[in-house]
Amino acid sequence: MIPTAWTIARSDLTRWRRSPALVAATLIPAAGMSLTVLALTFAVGRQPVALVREGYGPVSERVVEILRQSDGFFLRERTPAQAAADLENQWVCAVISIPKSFDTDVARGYGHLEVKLNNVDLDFSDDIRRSVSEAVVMIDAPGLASLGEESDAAAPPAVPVREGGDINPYRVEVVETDLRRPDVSFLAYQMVPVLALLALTAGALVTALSIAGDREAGRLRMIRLAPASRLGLVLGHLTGGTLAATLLIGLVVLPLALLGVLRAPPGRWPVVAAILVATAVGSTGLGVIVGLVTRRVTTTVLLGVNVASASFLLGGGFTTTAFLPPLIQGIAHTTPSFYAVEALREALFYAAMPTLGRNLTVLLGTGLLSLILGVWMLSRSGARLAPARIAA
Amino acid sequence: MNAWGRAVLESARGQLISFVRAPVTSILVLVLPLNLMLLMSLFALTGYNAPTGLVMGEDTPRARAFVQALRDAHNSFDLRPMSREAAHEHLRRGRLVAVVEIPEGFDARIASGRRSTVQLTVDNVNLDMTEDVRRAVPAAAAIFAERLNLPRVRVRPRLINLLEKDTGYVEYLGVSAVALAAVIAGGILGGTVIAREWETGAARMLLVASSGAGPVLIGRLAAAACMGVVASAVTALVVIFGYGVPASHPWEVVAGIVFTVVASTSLGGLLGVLLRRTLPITPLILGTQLPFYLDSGALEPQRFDGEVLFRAAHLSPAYYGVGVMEHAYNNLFVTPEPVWLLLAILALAGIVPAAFMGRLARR
Repeated sequence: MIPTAWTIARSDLTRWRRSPALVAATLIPAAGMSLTVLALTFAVGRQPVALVREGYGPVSERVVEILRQSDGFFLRERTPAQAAADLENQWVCAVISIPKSFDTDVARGYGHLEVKLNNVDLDFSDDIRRSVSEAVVMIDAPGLASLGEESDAAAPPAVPVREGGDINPYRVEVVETDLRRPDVSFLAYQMVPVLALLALTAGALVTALSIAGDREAGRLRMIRLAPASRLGLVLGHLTGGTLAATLLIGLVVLPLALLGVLRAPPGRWPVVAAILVATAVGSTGLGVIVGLVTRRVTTTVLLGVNVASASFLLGGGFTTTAFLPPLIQGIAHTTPSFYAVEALREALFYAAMPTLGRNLTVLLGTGLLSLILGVWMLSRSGARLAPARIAA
Repeated sequence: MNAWGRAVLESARGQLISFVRAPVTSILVLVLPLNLMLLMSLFALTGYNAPTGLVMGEDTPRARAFVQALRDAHNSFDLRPMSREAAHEHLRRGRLVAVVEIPEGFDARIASGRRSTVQLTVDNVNLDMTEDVRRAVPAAAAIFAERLNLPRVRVRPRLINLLEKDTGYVEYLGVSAVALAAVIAGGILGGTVIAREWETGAARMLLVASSGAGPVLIGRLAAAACMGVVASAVTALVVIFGYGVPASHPWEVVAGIVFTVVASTSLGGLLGVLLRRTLPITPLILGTQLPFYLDSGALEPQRFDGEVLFRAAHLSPAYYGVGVMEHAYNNLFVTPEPVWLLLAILALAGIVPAAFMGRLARR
């Protein structure tokens, strides 16, 4: 059985290695997603905003300084006409105006910053509203508006307090405690599902297509006639896909770790490595099942895409599954990627790993299930192994 | 009808028959865009209202006013009242983004003109949500101060919205996902049907045909596009009747789907001619178009993410499709280009690759 499995695995790996298109197809999804995440790292949470200054007093100066320092905006100073044109042409999403009488108004206790906002969708508009509120609160209560930053909560207000005035007129002070220092970078957090995606393309999709290709070309039927065990045959595909996926994941993780993008707590790298191998096994197992239940390459392609995208997106591709409605969480629990992403995030970012055992079991169990299902399916009528009639 | 036209029709007919004879494949074609649309909508469900544990040290009018201010702070918190122990346990296990603790004596301190300290514990693992929470707390304090008419707050924002109402995130993202569905369905179908001509050996025979390979390949693409349109139309209907997003410009929805599918099918076909193998088509299209979808104005107008990403977005039909769909459904302009120009570019992207298909096949 082992020689058969190893021959099949080697054949799968050779086919993959000798096909530049296949290598590209395996790498491009993860590479594309990594580049997008990298690009979004610079854009997330910060929006381009135009600043129109009509007031030039000392208080206005200070407010401009606050707005410039805000990590919620990319600020560009414009004239009123330029700002209106920028808003119209989507160069900026909002225009903040400091009126002429701003200093006088602040001295009287009713200063206003006018914010004209392109409220195209709720999520993005609320980001701007929050950032504007934060900047405004910074004027009277810098400590309250500096959450997450290294600052002195008792810092004096940015604009001198009136005589008899109070520091922090909002009367609410907030003491923030973070679970970790520093914050996890957006890039590191989003790279975890990218690794799952890599496992899905290298392991699941390519293995499924390889099996379907064998069937369509009639090779699967010929292999069945050979004195080779069915278990060896399925194990071979599982091993080949797992090796390819593990190799690729390793090639991605190693530089990321050396560059410091992915940082595991002390002593956790062996656990991370085990999870990555288990992820490759689970994803390839999924591919073996898809490859065996379909009869035509086109069907395999479509089922593979449906399964891979569902697995990636439900598994936490763009979301945190724990924050989804319970019903959807329940569905997400049926995909191996969910366990891969959860295990990796726990190992990389959290002090405890309470679900590690369960996650590894499910990932390796998917591989085992694919073996059992695969052997069972190959034992059934040989008709299933016949190449499907190729239509027009 | 001349021979060229007849060849196109016969080829399309043959491909459609092939789809009918493979019902499982056809069902999967119909399910794919719907699947993608529903899954992408998940992103919208976690984009705002961060799950936050609320620990109330007291239940007093001012404490309730502060909680209400948190609730009204621009869709930032999904507040879940619970005990302190439970809240911190959930936080440690990654089930909450933050825990807000309102202390005992909050009401009395505020009433007597003193300050009260609220504890905020944040799981700063997801920077996007962490920053939302950090910014939302000052916003809530400002709302709280305004409602209680607390004196000495000297500056307030005066917000003016350009549009009558904000479009909900699910509605926005759901609509943009229709464009993604059209791109993926069209691209995969177009690429696969063309590449199969080489895998089955039919392409060699086509090259010696009197009208050349061009009309047959165009016919195959036309049939693939028909399937893609049907599949995307199902998705579009789910957005209307399932998500309750009425189409502001119904004909634009139709045009948007047809043009996006045609452009994607044609570009997918081009990929099929170049690669001549079905195996890499799907991973390539899925792998390139999912990132391009994020970079297409699917989450917000794309220019807001910077000039480099904005320029890159123009490389994919997803950008043009999202631009058309957001206007068609939500009456929003999310691209600086007008809708007619977006449709024209999609049409061009559909025609040009198809026109060169025959010539490329002879390579």
